[in-house]
Amino acid sequence: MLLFADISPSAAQFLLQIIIDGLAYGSLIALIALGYSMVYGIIGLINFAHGDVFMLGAFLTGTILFKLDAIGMLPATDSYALVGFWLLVLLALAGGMCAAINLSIDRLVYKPLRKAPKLAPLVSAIGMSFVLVNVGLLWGGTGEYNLPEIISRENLLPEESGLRLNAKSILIIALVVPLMIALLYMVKRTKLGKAMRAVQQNPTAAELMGIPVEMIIATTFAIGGALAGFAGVIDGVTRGTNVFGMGYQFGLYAFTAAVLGGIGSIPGAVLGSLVIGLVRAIIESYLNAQWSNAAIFAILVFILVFRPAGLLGRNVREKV
Amino acid sequence: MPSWLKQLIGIVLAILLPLALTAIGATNIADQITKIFPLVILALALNVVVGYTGMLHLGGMAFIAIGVYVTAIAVHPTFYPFGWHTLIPLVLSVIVGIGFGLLLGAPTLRLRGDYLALVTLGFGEMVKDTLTYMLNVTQGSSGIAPIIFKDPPAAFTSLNEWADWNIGIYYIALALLLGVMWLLGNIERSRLGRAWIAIREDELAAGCMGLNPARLKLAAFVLCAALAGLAGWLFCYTTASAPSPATTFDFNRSVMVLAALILGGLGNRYGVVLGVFLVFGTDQILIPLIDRQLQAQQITFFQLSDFKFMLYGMALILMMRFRPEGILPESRIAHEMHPERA
Repeated sequence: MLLFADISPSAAQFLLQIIIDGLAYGSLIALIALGYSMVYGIIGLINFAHGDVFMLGAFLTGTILFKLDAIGMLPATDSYALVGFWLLVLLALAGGMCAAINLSIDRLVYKPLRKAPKLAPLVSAIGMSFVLVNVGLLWGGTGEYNLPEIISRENLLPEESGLRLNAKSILIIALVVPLMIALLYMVKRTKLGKAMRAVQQNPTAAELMGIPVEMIIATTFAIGGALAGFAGVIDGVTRGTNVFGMGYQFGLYAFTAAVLGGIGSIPGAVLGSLVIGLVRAIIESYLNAQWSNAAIFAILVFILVFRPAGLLGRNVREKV
Repeated sequence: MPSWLKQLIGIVLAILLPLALTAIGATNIADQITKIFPLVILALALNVVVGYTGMLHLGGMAFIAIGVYVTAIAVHPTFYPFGWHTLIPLVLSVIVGIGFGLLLGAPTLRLRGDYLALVTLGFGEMVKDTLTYMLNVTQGSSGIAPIIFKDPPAAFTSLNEWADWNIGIYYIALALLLGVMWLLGNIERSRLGRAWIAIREDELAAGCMGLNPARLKLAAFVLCAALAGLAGWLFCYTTASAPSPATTFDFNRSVMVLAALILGGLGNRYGVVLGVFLVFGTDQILIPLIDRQLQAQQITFFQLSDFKFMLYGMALILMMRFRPEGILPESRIAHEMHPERA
């Protein structure tokens, strides 16, 4: 307790603020990180195109919001029912589109390379990422653009608390936490989840036990894509700035989070994302936002040196 | 045709190329070709890690950036106190490259393939951000330009003279490239090179035969960093600047070099050289040329450069689908990719 004995009220506020900001950002990253982690767990591929699928989700959100604005149907930030309705529509559309994109990428590009050496699908994934970035460039142009705001950025806490907590942060956490619980339930409790874990452990044995491996892989890609689409919507309505390169930036954080937590592990991806969110929040308030990239990767290197399989990953012994 | 004759013809053609381009008045194309040489050396450096040893390295541009900034800081006469002779940073950038290679490689090379790839990627981001934001050491995102090298052959008094020297720079770059090719050709056949390939094929078996994979991997990593430092010196020398780190030494560039390496033929030096000239020749010479032609024809609704990432992406995907071993494959890799042809 000595450590906290002389902690001033402002320092406690500061700490709380960092936790709020870090959790909100980390939850968003977690949605993308899960897509990386699940795909990696099941076919051992770093799906470089995944971040760009997220970018397309955010772009779709932007386009729909602009259309709504143009026809005068953009909901005001205080008409909660309308905002909720459009949010559900956006989630359904972007989730569906991104799931379809991710699924088609797997069928068209990765599936023919299932038996090829590891480098081949990896390079194809990089190629796919280039293609999607180009789609983003043609869709949204080269510059950044701001989306119409449908969720208030007003502080919900009283002024004297000295803390910032707006509807945006609450929305992120309120959407992400149930999604995570649903996903964990699916993987741990349902038949489909059991099949996914079986394919992850040993695809050949799973196939011999009558599990339709290709179906499971397709489902994984669809789920990962849908999560990326949801992340796109959430980012679009909260942060609200789109640029074609955002897929790379978020994808990089998300992939780092997945590796940090132990790639292939769902709780690991979430934990890694929260760590990254918190680190970023700390750096932004103590140092400067521009150093957050460098700090996150320094921590990544540091953790991997001591725990080569990530925070929650298991060390797999290599068999001959 | 014996291989020495092929090499001789290749060298003669490379020597004649800028003269021919100057003769038809396309000096700007010759300049652009000169600027690709550092990337060729970087690709050859990455080939040591990716092609011979079989580790994925996604931070190539970071090591070239280190070389570029070491050179720029050492020679720039006004921004920095050193103002050294051009050849001092040639050695210095290699040494600094080795230092960073050891610093990054020693703790992380035990990691499994994809984890290592991520660490190199992260290192690339760290270097890029550090160069961009350490304003009291670098000039930040504006880069350092122009840098007038004092030599060789003598001090240039004006930028025009500097421009005339361009063809000379081409030959310096070519000589450096040939030197690196010769060096790597010898290393490839040496005990070290054969050990690297053994690790690539089967690390466990190689370890059982008495090779030390950790030390050999570190050696590959450090050689890569050293050659990339050299490439950085050449980059600074050919462009007479240290360009903005955020736009020049970013992940996309690292990946494009890697893609060129794989497109040309992983593990084969000649394939690597061909691949880089193909990819960056298309990127920096062919596409701008076509776009200028289109503009000259009053076609404004279509610019090839708007679609270039799609073009590269499709090229990579199709290549992996139909010829994953590259254009000029290394024999062992070709065999691995197409076991049925053996």
